[in-house]
Amino acid sequence: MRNWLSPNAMAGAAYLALGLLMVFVLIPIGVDEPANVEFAVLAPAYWPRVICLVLAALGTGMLIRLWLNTRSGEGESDEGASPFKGLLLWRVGVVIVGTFVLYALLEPLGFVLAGALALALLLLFAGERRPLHVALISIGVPMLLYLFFTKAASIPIPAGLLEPILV
Amino acid sequence: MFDTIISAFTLFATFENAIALFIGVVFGVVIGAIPGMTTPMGVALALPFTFTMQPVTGILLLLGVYKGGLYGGSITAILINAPGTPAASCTGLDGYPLAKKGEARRALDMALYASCTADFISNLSLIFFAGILASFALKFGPPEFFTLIVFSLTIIAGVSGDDLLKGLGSACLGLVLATIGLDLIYGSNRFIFGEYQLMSGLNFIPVLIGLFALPEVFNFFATKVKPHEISALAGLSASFAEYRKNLKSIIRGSLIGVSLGAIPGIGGAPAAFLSYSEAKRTSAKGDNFGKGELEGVAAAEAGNNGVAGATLIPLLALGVPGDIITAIILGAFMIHGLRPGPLLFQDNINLIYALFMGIMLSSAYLFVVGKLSIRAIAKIADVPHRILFPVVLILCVFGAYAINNTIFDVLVMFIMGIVGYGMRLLGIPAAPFLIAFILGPLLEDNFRQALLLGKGDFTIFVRSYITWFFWALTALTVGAMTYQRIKGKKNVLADG
Repeated sequence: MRNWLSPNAMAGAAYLALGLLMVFVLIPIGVDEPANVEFAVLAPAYWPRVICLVLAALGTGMLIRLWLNTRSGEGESDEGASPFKGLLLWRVGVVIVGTFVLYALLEPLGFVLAGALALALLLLFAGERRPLHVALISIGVPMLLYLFFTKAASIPIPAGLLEPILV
Repeated sequence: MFDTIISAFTLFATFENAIALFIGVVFGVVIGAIPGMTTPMGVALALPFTFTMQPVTGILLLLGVYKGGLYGGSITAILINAPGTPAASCTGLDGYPLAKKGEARRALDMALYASCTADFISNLSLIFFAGILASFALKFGPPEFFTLIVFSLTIIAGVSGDDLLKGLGSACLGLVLATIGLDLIYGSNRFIFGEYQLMSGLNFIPVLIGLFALPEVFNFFATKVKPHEISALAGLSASFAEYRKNLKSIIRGSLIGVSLGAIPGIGGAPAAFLSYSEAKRTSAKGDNFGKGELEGVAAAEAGNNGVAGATLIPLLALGVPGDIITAIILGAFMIHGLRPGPLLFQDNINLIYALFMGIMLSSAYLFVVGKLSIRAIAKIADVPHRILFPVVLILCVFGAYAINNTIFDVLVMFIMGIVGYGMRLLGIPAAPFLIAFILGPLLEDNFRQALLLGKGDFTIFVRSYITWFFWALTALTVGAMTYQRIKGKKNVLADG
């Protein structure tokens, strides 16, 4: 039973599910087929469909292999180990949510301000406790990056609220 | 002939040329080392500065940026697993594990030595074989390109780790992701779902950064016991003996780079991966590849840099740019009223020789600048992880945005970061995904163009001796890898 919660089982199931989802749902919805396709192999959906069928076949192969191993009791020693064991996934969740908040703030606040806020919070979350270091790094790094990209590389970076000062 | 060489030397040996080339190499190394800044971007940025320069000075500046950028891309690939160029992601496969073990200095040194050697060999090939290789490259059509890319993809078997099925599945995911965008033959939508920014497909840099750099950041926050923060600079430099030991892989990688670089449109990434694959297949330490093997770094960098001089072969001999960078350099020639091709050899041979001299000097500059930059840039690895990883995340955000000035790329990077972290948790290797994503469009385009030429007939893929040659190489490589896997499993069973 433990084998079915192993990384290999989850990966196999994910390949199979994704392959079938692509072939039966996403390719029919997401690929526009022109009416005048001369040869079937040149159709826009042909290539992704072949790849997704292979993906589903690989997933099936992984699950069959696992089933055979489970039946014969040859499960690899680490097959049953949960891939999440010993990880503080809630912390990753916080960082991921934080990255999307940062993404939402990049244009209204500007890269420097949003970057500075995000960097300060990330530094504190990562365990940096020296206030001067946090302040200097969180202000200095986005500022330097902004100046490099805008002044040296001539790549415009949205300044947002700081536009009157920076631009 | 002698008069021409003297005349070329006079044209080349000026203070302006020496300085322009040096500045170009420094600028290229810096640009290549910044995730999100690409070598073509660096060459394009430098182009306006060449307008007022002498033709040789301006072109040497651009060549310096090109060569510096190729090496610079490997620096952050090794230190923080955020490759500056697609080809450098291959260097990161072994470079980053070495840095994690506290041997970043060794990896950076070996990358530099391999880069300089490959660059030198590539320059020699440019000088001696320009005409011959360019005429061979002209025989390549879509079927030949397709078989070449299929051969390049055999590396997936080599970087799949212990589970080939997982690796192949990862490659399928990369191939599927590469199909997003407008269909090249019919112009119809594929997986765009109303988002116009997806029409040109996903840019590889946000995907690359998301897949390789962000999972490291997430993993840092997920681990209870913080990894031991080793000073990378405390590690030893790569010794001459190590360089000599890896010389075979370096020379082979250089020759692979030269051969692929001479074919227009291939670029450094396939050369790096193919060189890496060959080194892994033939090395006694093949099993250690991907876990921090110095030979892997050497082979990848040699393949990547072997391309540099060779991409100039079709440009100078035929006026055909091999990639985006040489297309920009072609623009620089034209700005100065010069048109590369056979006529340039006839009318301006002293200019060609002067460029050759500058190109040879660039290898020496690359070594000096590389050595100095290792000391300066490798200090990144000394920064405590609680500071480094948050800074890397912000650097990635700026870098992803700067590619196309679009915030959409930042979103793509974050999503790919989550995908990459999920893959990491399930033990799915990211390298096959990335290789397939980079080579996928080339593979599909040539597959379909070939079938269009052959009116849907698959025999087009065996139409010439070049296609047969690559099919045979693919079969041999797959056969050898399968044999090694079976042999390895038998050995494990026998031991245990």
